[in-house]
Amino acid sequence: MDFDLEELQKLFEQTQNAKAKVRLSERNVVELVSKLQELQLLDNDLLHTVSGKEYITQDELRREIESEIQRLERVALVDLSGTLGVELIHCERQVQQIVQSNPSLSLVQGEILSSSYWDSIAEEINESLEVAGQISVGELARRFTVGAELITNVLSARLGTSIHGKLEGGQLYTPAFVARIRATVRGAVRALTVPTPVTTLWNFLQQQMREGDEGPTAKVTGDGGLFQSVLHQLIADGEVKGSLRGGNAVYTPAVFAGAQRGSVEAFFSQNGHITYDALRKLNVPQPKQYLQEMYKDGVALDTIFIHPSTISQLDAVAEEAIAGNTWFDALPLVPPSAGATDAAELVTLCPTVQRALKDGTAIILADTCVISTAFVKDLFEKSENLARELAKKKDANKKSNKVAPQSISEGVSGNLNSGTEPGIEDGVSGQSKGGRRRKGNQSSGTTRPSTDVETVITKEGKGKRRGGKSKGEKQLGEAVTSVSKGSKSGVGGIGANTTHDEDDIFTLEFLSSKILEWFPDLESAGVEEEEDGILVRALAELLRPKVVAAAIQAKQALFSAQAEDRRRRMDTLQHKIDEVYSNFQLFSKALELFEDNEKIGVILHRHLLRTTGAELVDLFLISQGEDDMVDNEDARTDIKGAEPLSSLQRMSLAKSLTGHKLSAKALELVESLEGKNVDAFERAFEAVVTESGLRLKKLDKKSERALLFSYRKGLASQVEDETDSVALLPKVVGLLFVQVHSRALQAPGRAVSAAILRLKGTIADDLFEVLMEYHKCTVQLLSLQAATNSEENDTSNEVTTKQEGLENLIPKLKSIVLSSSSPASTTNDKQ
Amino acid sequence: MDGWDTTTKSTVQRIPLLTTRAGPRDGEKWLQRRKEEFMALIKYMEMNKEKDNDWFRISPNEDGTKWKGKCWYVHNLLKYEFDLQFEIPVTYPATAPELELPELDGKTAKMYRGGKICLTIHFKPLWAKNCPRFGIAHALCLGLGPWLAAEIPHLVDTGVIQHKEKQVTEKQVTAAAS
Repeated sequence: MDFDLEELQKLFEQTQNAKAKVRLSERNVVELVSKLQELQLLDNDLLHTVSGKEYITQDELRREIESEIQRLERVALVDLSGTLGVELIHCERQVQQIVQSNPSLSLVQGEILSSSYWDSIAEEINESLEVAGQISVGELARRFTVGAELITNVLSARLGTSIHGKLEGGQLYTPAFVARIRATVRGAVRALTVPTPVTTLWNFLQQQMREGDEGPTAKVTGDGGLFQSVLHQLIADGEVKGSLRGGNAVYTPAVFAGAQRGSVEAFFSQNGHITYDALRKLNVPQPKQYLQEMYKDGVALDTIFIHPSTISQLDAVAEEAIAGNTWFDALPLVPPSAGATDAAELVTLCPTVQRALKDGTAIILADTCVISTAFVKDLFEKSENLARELAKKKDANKKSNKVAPQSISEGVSGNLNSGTEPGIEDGVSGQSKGGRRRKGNQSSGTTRPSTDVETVITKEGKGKRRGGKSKGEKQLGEAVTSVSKGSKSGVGGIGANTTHDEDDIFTLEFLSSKILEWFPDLESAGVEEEEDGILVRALAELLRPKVVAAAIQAKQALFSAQAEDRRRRMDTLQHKIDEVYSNFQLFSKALELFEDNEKIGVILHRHLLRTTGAELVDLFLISQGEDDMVDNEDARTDIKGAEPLSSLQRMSLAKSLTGHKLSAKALELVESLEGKNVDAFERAFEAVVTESGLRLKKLDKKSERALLFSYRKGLASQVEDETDSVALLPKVVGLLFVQVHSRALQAPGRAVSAAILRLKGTIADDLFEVLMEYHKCTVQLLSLQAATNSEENDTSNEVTTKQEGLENLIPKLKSIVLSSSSPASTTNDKQ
Repeated sequence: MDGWDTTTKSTVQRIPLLTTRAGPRDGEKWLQRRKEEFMALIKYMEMNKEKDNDWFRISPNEDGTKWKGKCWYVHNLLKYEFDLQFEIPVTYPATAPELELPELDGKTAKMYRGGKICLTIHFKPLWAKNCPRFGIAHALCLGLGPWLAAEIPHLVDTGVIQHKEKQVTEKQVTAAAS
């Protein structure tokens, strides 16, 4: 406030006239600049700084960047943009231009590097290399934070100029260091006599070097690159003798390779084969390839390498075997060290075998055995025969087994199911077989002979059965007229079991043992397996289905033959029974004539039962029991001996009959036979026969007449031929009865008088007289004879006289009967 | 101080206040008052220059009762310049000086006869309230500045006033055409 007014006014003037500070808003400035650009008053593009507050021209930027590079020698673009405050992209563009225009600069991974920078680095590296002896490029790259590749390029460009060393596998070495390593490696490798993995060698060397001198060499660890290259060089220079194998992983000294090769060659040329195992022992890592390289024409198998001569040998043997219809096993012919698979392969390699296989003249079994088909065929025929034999044997065996009471009881139970005899056989055979099988299981291959013995026994049994059967039939034929036996054939039932049986019998063991029996030399063929040779087993396997089929076939044939036989037997039985039964009916009809006379009737009834009835029953029982009794020789001889069976025998027979019903009925029948009623017997008989599956034929008129006629004929001829006076009478009476009543009468002596009386009135009186007379004489004669037997000679004269008298009467009687027979019969026939 | 924008207000507040209550007739005191006026004006001028907001030139007569000069306003990058004059009333500082823009006389409604500008209703109470602390500088800052900012763009837009250079060029154009 000390200022004068004048001064103040002046000051104010001054203030007013003072130039105003230009205060442009940023907006205005931006507008101004853009206006300038629009008017193209500015030469170059303007750039903004990062802050956006400044403009900078390209030239200025370039200047700044260049100065920065000059100052730092190595500048990162990012740093550049930071320090200059210009956006990275402008920097980049500018830097590119700079680098292009200046060859001593390079732009690498966002960094500008001048060559002078590299020079200084190279110097630094060289210095540290001198100190360390070796430096890894990776380490250098890390130290200078440059890419390893880049630094490698830089280094390789300066190797020999500013850097004195050797670049090897990412490592820089001084020549001295390299020489030292080379010497070390050479020494180590020369000392080797066996193949050695290179890595172990390196490890060992490194360890040794580390031990030798602590310090820079320790860094060698973990990088065998130098070693490797040195070794390669050494090998190439011929300083060490050897080679690298397995992808340069293993060093094999030449001396070792030579020895290896020599030993392989020696063995192979001596033996014609060599196993890979042997090669492995000789340290050949890939024996197959090794051998294939060595011997082009050799055959490489799974475990062995073989000279072709072996195949030609095999081939010769195969040819021989096939031509000779025999077999051969390749296994003994190939080197023992070759496995089964190799042998098999060898066999298939033989041209002859290949041809034979194609032609079907040979087969390969058990992998290594070549067998001609003819041989197999032969074998099959043999086993087929065996099967047939066995089937027969087995059948016989069944029959013989039946003797045992146990088997009979079993048979009875079997009969309950099937109701037929074959059922019994089945059960029995099943049992016996089961036993054998058990035995077979217990005894393995070594005890095989026992099985054979057994089969032999069964065979014998079978033969017996057959013989017995025919014998039995014969015997039956002579023993009684005929009895029918019923039995349905159970072939079907048996058939079902058959396959099963055959399977059991023709086990592989059994077949193999049989084959061995035929061809003992097969024993050792094929690969050993347990006790049997495998070839035998394979053969058995091959044959078994066929043999089993054959066996089944044989068995079925046998069964059908048996069934045929049985049917035939049944037919004859039926026939016989028919015959006898019709006779029986015929005779029983005659009994009707005596129904009024009880006493005589009873006698007649009993007589009829004793004769014809007994015959019927015996026939039936024997035939029925035949199948049960076939093999029971003693029983049969008993039956054979006694013509009519005793009632005791009948009872036992009936009891032994199979089947409860049949047996019971048969017993009933036998009882009724003891009775005096023909009708009762007839009923019982009919029941039994139907039970046993046969049928009875009722007598019809026509056949009755035919029968009667033949009977009369027979009687007439008998009468004619009869010389025995006593025997004549019943026949004459019978003939007369036929003539008169056309009934066939079977009368015992006691009933003859009654019969004669019965004839009275129906025949001529004179005839009757003669008959009565004859009868009286006969009775007297018989009584006399009876007396003579006891009292000897006293009455013998009387007997002879009586006999003479009777004999005198005979022609008369005969003439009467025979003369009257024809007209009488005709008249009677007409009735 | 409601009627003004914030820059105006802040500017006013930074203009030094006067202390002497004296008019032209007060002799020595008036001298003192004039000194203070100058101080304030210098300060204000400095401030304007500092802010690149120089917009007037004035100079007083001998006794400091009449002031003459120029004032200008930049609109759309064109500078519109007007003569400025005012007298210090006898009752100063109780009465505020009446600022005149004779060139614009009759051209706008916000003006009294003789080119005296109409100030806002806020001005007079504010001036009265701050008597004698307000001086010429304050009057210019609070009165003429805002008035120019409000009126000139309007006047230019309505075509009442035209830029001198433009006028010249137009004249040249018409002359050339004729």
